[in-house]
Amino acid sequence: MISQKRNRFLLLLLLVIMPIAFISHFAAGEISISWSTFGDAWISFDSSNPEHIIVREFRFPRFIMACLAGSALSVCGLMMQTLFNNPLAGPYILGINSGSSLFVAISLMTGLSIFQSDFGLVSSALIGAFIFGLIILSISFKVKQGVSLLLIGLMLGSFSSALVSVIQYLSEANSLKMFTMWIMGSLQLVESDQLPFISVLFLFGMLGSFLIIKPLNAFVLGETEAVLLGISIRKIRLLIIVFTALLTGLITAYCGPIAFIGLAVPNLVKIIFKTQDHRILLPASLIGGAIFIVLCDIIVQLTAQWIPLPINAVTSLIGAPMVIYFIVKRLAQ
Amino acid sequence: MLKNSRTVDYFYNMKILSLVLILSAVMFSCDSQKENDNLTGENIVRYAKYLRIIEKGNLTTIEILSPETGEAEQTLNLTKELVKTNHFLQVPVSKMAVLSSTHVGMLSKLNEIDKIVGITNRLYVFNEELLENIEKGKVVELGEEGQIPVESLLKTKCKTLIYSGFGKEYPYQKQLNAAMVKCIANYDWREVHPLGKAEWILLFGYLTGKEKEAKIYFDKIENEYLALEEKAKKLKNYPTVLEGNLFGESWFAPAGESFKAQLLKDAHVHYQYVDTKGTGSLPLTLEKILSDNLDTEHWINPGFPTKEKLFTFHPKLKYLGPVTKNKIYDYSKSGNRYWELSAIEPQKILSDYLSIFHPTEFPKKNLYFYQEVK
Repeated sequence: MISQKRNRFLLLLLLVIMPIAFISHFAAGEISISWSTFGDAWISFDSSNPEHIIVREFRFPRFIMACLAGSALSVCGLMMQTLFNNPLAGPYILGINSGSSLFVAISLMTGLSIFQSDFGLVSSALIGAFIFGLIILSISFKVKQGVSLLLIGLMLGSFSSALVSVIQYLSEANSLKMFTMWIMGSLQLVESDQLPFISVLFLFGMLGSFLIIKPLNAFVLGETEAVLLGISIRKIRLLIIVFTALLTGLITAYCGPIAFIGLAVPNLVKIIFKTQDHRILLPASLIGGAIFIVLCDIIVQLTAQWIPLPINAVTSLIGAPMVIYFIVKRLAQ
Repeated sequence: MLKNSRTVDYFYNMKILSLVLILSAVMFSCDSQKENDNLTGENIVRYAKYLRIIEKGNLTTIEILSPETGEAEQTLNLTKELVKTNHFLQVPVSKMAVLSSTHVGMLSKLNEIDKIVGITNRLYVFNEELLENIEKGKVVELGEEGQIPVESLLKTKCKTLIYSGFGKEYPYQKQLNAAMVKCIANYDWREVHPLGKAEWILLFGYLTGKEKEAKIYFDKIENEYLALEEKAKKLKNYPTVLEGNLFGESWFAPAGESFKAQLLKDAHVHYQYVDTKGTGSLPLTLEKILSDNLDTEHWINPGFPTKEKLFTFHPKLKYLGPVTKNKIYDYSKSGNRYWELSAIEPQKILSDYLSIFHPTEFPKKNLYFYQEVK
């Protein structure tokens, strides 16, 4: 009862921190813009005013993309950790990001028309994530040990990285440059008119994830117990892979591969909330992931005029010490 | 007694050691003096900051200077006599591996493409003769500059390996020196004046025994460059120009003291960041670039040949002034030509710039490196 109250309080606290982080993110750009200009950019947009363009086309899409990326990757990480019953699991560790990267590399650098559909990058990233997700899933039917499965995921990641290196070596300069830019990861490439499409896919994946909260809680008890509770293991496993591939592929397509969030945020949430209940963990990962990446992106923006830091580097620089601190603190207790 | 004897031995040994040290120091200082004596001749290099060439009798000494310290990083003593020591390099060098496109360009201007036996990757080659030689198996592809397969290189029996200097020894330098392959750093890419880059052709001239041809070629391009610069000085208008592109989180624009900024100055344009310090690139945020360049007229070197490719990754760049004015030019007219020849033909870059930025005074007849990004 006490822990339920505590967790509700913590969730409330996250909800309070959220707007503070969001407002700070809006104000973090290099160009100083007054709050009244922020309002004017929406009420009376002037396309010849650089400040209006910066607000509507630069800061707003970047902020929304940061929130969506942080939330999606954290929720995917949580579901993967539950599915494989291993805190090290996550879309990056299990090679799902690598699948996206491989297919984007094939799409950009080989010029094979089969991969160059109307959706271009997005479809390549989604196909890659889905294929690698299915490979991991099919292997998971035969390999029961979580550690072995993680090792297989790491091998898949290494294998696809090696293939990407070969493709990079053989590709011509412009394609190589495009791929290099994509793989560095960035939140500022999304345009405002792409946001509705991204948001719809995000909502679909997120809604699906929330609909399987009950089976996810049953998975925590173990597969045998989950079967006894009437859960269709195969169906839920497939759904987790589908939602994870959809969300990871979507974010990877638009922002490049972003590491660490899927691993760190769910673990941080579990340590802080001290629960295995996905009714708490899922919304906490969703909000926590958004806050975490928004804070990291504030650092990226504040330091950009002196040191150009990629978002990938900042998420690890901030996240790794946080995770270590909480683990040490928990062990000390 | 024993103790005393040991003490005497100790002092005796120390005396001997001191004598050896003093003699060594004297000999070393004599050697240094000799070396310095060799370098007292006139340096024939005028623009390149990191290259010194001194001719004295039959011996030519070439110093590659460190861009960081200005001190000699490598000293090459070239001789036309037959030598079997690593202290001298016998010229003309019959076979060489070159690990940068600019090196290929310089050798092509001396008609010495046949001397090349190793390059990094055929994808970066523009020269047709070299491509043919690769096809015929006369030239090996060595891959990444810092990770070449040493045995493949040795199999070519090359005498020198020329790489883009980076302040340290080449990764396999000791092994290659032992195999009588001289590794030579090239800092043309660090030069800050366009003619300074081009002047590195003298290094290739001396190595191939075509120093006279190299000097004649350099004098020719120097005259052409300076003549164009002089004409540009008489222009009255300064069109605004943006240079560079977004990479990751930052836009990398040439700093005010860089080679690219110098070319823009010589092309008589207003470049927003011309007063900044530094010889490399300035990392700028996209917001800063947009707010500074909403009305800028031209954009040069976006790094992509078509708008489609450019906007695939950077759709937000459509708000920049030059995009709305349709004045974007890129160096991608002929594949790898820019990478191979721009260092050795700076007068042609300046000529292209003048035609792009001042089309009335310098009509666009036929751009050499550049084309409009459509």
